[in-house]
Amino acid sequence: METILDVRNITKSFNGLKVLQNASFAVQTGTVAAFFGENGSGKTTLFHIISGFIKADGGDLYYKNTPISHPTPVSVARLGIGRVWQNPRICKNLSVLDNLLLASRNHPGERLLNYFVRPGQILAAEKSKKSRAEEIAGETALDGKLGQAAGELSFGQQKLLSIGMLLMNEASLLLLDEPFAGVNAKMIDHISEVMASLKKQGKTIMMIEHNRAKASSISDTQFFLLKGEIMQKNDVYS
Amino acid sequence: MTLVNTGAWYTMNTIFLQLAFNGLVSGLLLALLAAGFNLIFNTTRVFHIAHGSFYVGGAYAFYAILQLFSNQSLFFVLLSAFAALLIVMLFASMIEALIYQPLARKKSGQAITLISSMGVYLFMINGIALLFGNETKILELPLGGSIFLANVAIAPIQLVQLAVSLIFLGGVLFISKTKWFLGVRAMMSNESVASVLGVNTTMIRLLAISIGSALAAIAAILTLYDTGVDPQAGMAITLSSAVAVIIGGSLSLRGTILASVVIALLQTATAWFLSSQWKEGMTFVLLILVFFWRTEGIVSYKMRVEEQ
Repeated sequence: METILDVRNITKSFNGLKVLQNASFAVQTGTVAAFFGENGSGKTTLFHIISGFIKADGGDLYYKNTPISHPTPVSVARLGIGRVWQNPRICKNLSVLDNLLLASRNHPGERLLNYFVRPGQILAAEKSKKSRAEEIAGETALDGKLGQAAGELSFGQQKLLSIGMLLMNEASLLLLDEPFAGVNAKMIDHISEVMASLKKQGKTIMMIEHNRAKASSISDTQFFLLKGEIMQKNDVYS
Repeated sequence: MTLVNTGAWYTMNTIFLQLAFNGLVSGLLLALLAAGFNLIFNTTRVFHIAHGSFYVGGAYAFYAILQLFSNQSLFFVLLSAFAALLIVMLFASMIEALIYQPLARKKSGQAITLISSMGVYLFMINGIALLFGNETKILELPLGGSIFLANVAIAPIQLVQLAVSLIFLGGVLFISKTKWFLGVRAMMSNESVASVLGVNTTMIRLLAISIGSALAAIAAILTLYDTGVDPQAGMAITLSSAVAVIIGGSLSLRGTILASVVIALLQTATAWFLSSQWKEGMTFVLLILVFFWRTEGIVSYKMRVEEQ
């Protein structure tokens, strides 16, 4: 199995307080990795660093064996690393379909001029992107809600839409920040099923979660953060 | 008695038809301006008072360029209009790059951007008045007299205004269906999400202010051949277009166009039955009435209660 993300000796301090100390771990392609830890243990900071929202003080990140030299949110997203936030970041005034289409990449229609000079290419792209969006809506159990405004969805469905947007964005590595927080038991099962299905498709998932029982049951690897240091489950038990 | 009633009914009917037609044409012109205001407001979040100065600037740029040609045939009119639009788009891009964009980077509040926009408006209007004087500029369309359809008098300029407005509003509605515009709508909804998803927000702002200002200039050029344009014409028309955006539901271009037509019909009827001085006042009465009925405007999006 190949390593998709290799994190080496990441350190980060805020006002002298060390949040991450030489954090190192690797995540294998097509697996689900869960990250546990008390509040303030550095989980979210770690996800912020991987997704380019904050800079690490030291250490290196490798994605598919290539170093990520200057990670920014946009450059990381373009590499294929997508993030779902605890409070879903979606466009609530847009329909579910529009949110999915918005997340699609390499659409010739992003350049307005192409509508006039390459209409055939635009039509073909719009057809294929729409059918992919419908497919993803099916995978995330949002079919039948494509025309609805995203703001009309329940909180759990908004989380599923965020995951769908990452898929539309062709992300290979999904960083999920507390996917089970704030949703009911039925939706937790539902999100778990979607995650299992994504894993089957070869996607890699990293998740921060406080629901340790549920997250352990669906993850292949568990990491624990304690005072800024990362330990794998086996390390903890040994 | 029956004959008199029929005659009165016939006259009233003709008046209503005439007012409706005049209102529709004015409404479509206002819709060009309001669609531009909508595009700029929703991408830059600036209450773009300076929109009125681009309206006036477009008219005066066209007027000045056209005077350079001794021949005022259709070719030179179109050439002058094209050049005027380019000038307006260039100025608008400069305002975005030099004022609005830096203020946005500094996360300035709406009060600061509003005052900056007012400053731009005053600077441009005073500059235009200094260069061209304060008198109304008006041009004549050499297309003969009015034609009559069902007793409704239709001036040739009204037909031109109707056709040109419909073409450009059709263009705006076409653009609103593109993937590029999906980026605009995403910015209207949540700019940070749009930017994380790879939407080039800087370029969208620049294009939106250029296209929006060009729409204002088109409306101004069409008005130049009708009632004319003077340097002070910008403020009232900007306020009317802002009201159209609010009444229509600020996130909807279709709502803005619909509201523009409603406002213009109301203004035309007010000018006929009351006085033209009450036109703007009645527009704001309509705004208040719509607020009582639907605070989010005519066209809005359903949301869960906790999302509103």
